[in-house]
Amino acid sequence: MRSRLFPYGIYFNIVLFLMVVVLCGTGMYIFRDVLLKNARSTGMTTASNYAAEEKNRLSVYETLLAFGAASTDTRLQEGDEKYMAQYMSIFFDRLQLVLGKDMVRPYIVLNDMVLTRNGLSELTRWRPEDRGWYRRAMEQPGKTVFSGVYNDILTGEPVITAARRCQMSDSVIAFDIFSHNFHFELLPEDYESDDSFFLCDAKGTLLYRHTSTDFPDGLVKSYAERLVRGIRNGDFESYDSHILDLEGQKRAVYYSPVSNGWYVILTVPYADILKQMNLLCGLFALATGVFFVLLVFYSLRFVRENARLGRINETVRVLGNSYYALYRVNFTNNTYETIKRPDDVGGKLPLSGCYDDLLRDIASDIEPGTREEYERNFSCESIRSLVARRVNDFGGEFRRLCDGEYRWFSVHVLFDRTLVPEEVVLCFREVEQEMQRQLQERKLLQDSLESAQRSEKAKQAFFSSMSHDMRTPVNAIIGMSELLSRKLDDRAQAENYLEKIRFSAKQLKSLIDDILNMSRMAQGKLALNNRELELRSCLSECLDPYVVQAEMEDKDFRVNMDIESTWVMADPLRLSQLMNNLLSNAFKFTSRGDTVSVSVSPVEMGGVLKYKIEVSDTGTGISEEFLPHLFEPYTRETRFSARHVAGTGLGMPIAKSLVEQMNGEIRVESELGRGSTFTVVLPFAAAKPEKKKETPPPAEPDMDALRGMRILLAEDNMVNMELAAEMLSMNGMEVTQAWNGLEAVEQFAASSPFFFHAVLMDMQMPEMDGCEAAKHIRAMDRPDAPSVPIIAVTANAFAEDIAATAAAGMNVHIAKPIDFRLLFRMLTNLAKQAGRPPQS
Amino acid sequence: MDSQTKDMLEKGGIGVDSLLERCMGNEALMLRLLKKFPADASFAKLCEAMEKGDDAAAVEASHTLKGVAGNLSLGVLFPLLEKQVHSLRAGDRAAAQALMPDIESAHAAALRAVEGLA
Repeated sequence: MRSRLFPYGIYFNIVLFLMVVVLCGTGMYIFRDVLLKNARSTGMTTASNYAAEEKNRLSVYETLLAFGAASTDTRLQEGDEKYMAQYMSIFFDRLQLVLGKDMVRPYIVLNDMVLTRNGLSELTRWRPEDRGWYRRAMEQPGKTVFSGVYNDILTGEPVITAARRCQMSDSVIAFDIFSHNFHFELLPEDYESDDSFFLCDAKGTLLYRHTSTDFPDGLVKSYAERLVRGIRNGDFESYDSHILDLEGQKRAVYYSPVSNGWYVILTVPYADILKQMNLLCGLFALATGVFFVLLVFYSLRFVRENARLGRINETVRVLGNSYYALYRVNFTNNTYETIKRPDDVGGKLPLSGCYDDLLRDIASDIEPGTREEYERNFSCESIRSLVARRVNDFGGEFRRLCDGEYRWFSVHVLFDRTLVPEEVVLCFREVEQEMQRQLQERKLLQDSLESAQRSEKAKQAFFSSMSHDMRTPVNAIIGMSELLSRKLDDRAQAENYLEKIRFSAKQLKSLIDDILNMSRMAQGKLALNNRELELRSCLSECLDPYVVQAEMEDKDFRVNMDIESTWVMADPLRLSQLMNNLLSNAFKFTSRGDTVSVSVSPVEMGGVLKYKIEVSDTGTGISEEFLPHLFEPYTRETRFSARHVAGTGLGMPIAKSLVEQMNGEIRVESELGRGSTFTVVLPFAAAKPEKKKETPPPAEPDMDALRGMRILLAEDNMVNMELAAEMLSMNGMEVTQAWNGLEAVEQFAASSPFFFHAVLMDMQMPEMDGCEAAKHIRAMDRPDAPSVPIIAVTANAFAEDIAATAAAGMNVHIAKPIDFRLLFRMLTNLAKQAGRPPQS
Repeated sequence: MDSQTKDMLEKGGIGVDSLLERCMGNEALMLRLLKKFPADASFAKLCEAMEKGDDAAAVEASHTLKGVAGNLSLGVLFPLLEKQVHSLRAGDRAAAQALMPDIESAHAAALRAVEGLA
């Protein structure tokens, strides 16, 4: 969800900055206006002051002119022109005194005469009618007129002429006033400013100027004309009007007209007016700049921080998604707040509230048994104590009802006291798959560990134990043979020894068989091959070799069998292996004259049939330190001993593992020098005695005898056929398949006599059933027809079925599912009975 | 065989250990046998016979299926069929019929497990 480029904060900052800039700009603008207006009002006042000063000056000339005109009139009335000239010359002289020398040049024009300070003279070249001021004066008697500035014909200096016509005569009195008279008295001489003052006549001709910079007169003249033209046009009426001066600077123009049409003009550079503002502007700009830089800096930081927070937020959300539910729990107030919760609890509880309610609600779905534990462990007090003890990441797994089935969940209490001191985060995750996988992995690990242990260590241990165990029967055989050779005349005794030799040899063979079995089985699995046996006789057989050994080694061997003839389910091979281990151990650690005793007694424990087998000796005994290690593989007490002790040290570990496999217990009591007592307690399932069995201990089938046998296999079901055919051929037999009884009969008929060593006949088949097929075979006219062994395979253990098979001439029956060991044994026996030596 | 497959088979009521024992530890054979199970027609025959009320055919099919179940160590199916064969032989059709739902579900479970084999 990152649709926008910047966070809103940035836009806010930009707007803020723009507002500040606009505000500053507006402020500056208003300030500038105020400055301009103030400057204008000051400038206008100044201009009008100067205009007033100029008016005063002019009125002096006007007064003097009026006085001169009146005097002229009076003198002309009193006398002639000469009289008047005489008098006026004095007036002129007086003027010099009053106004200053050569300030003005007074003269009077009278008809064709002109009176100057030099006296009366006739007008020759100079024609007053040519002059505008003269004509205007003539037209307006009693009124003073002013000429514009012009260059004096005599001196060439700029001059203006003020003139007035006499009331009584046509004479005009005029003063040529030199323009240097028109300065501003109010302006101090050392006035230093960039302000410029101008006094112009109505046409814009400069009468006076005061500027900071000297420019050629021509330029200034046209500039002044520009000013006056502007004033006349009203260009400078606005307070913010300006003119570009000769230097190209902006100047404000203030002016005031003088009564005679002249103008007093004051120009002030904008720069001066706005000097304060410029300073302020600078300060503003600086402040704005600093503000901008700070704003940019903080904005960048803000953007970066915001982006980081955004990413953190996203990450937290992604993390949160992996949780089934998240709650914040305040353990001080006993409240909770839902951060995330599964859809199925929505609506049951408010999003926040009392934590006890939440606890109860969560616990209600938890598997009974775990529920109370959960409530105890995640109560408010418990959480508080966890936090107090700083136990972070407290949690565990439990099964919770979810969509009608129990699934695995994990719960964890997370907290950070520095961030939120009074709260924890309670997070739930569904870990069903993880747990399943874990359980599976654990099982796999266990399996592989067990298998590794079995296949490697156990294999080694097994081989070692085998060699250890082989020694006993071999010893017996050797011992018996020796005894036999001494007692050859005593037939009964000799037969007894021979029987014992046979038993030991058989035991030896079965051990070797086991080793072969072991190597055949990829995994070192020692499965118990339980079957019905008579415990007393089985144990007696195990003990028999030791009676001989005791006799040979001159030891006292006592047997106390406190049991009646009992049929139990047990593995005779493993049982004798166990007894061998215990007894050979006892014999190994006893010396001549010592006693080894075995006692067997039943123990009734909780309705289970158990037997206690105690093997004790008066031998060397076991040291206290070694006793705990006795059942560990490959340990043997290294102690000074008179004799060489043979063995791998596996006897006891093997005994222990055998006992464990039989679900029994083994323990040992021993005292050094006094002997040891091994007590084994084994549970047995009771078995019904089957007296009818002809061969009580059915030996393992002789697989070699089966090799090469040719079997006719009649079976209509594919699965059954496959299994049987595979098992038979796997063990070296040749199988001919017949899919029904008829086919079996045909196959048999087609074979040469004695080709098939046996027929395996399923009972219920299409076309022709097993019984009928057997009858047909028996009825055939061929040498092997009556003798070929026919084994009925039937799933029906009903007496009438079995009777039917016998009636049909079948030798024996075997139940489905076929126990192949049994089948192989049967085949072996049948082959023997048929007098057929096994083929190689 | 991995424990997962074994679990799957055992859930289908297949006694893997005893079957393996019967196959004398030959796992490949065991799996091959199991894979033949879906092709076995005796269950269909049994259903048909029960529906038609053909007792002879029913007992034959039930019997064959029992043999297969025994051979494949179908621990749930086998005892049910044993009972059924017994009932059928005793002429107790109703009892045999009553067993059908259980037989059907046990058969389906085994079938599912076997079909789950890779």
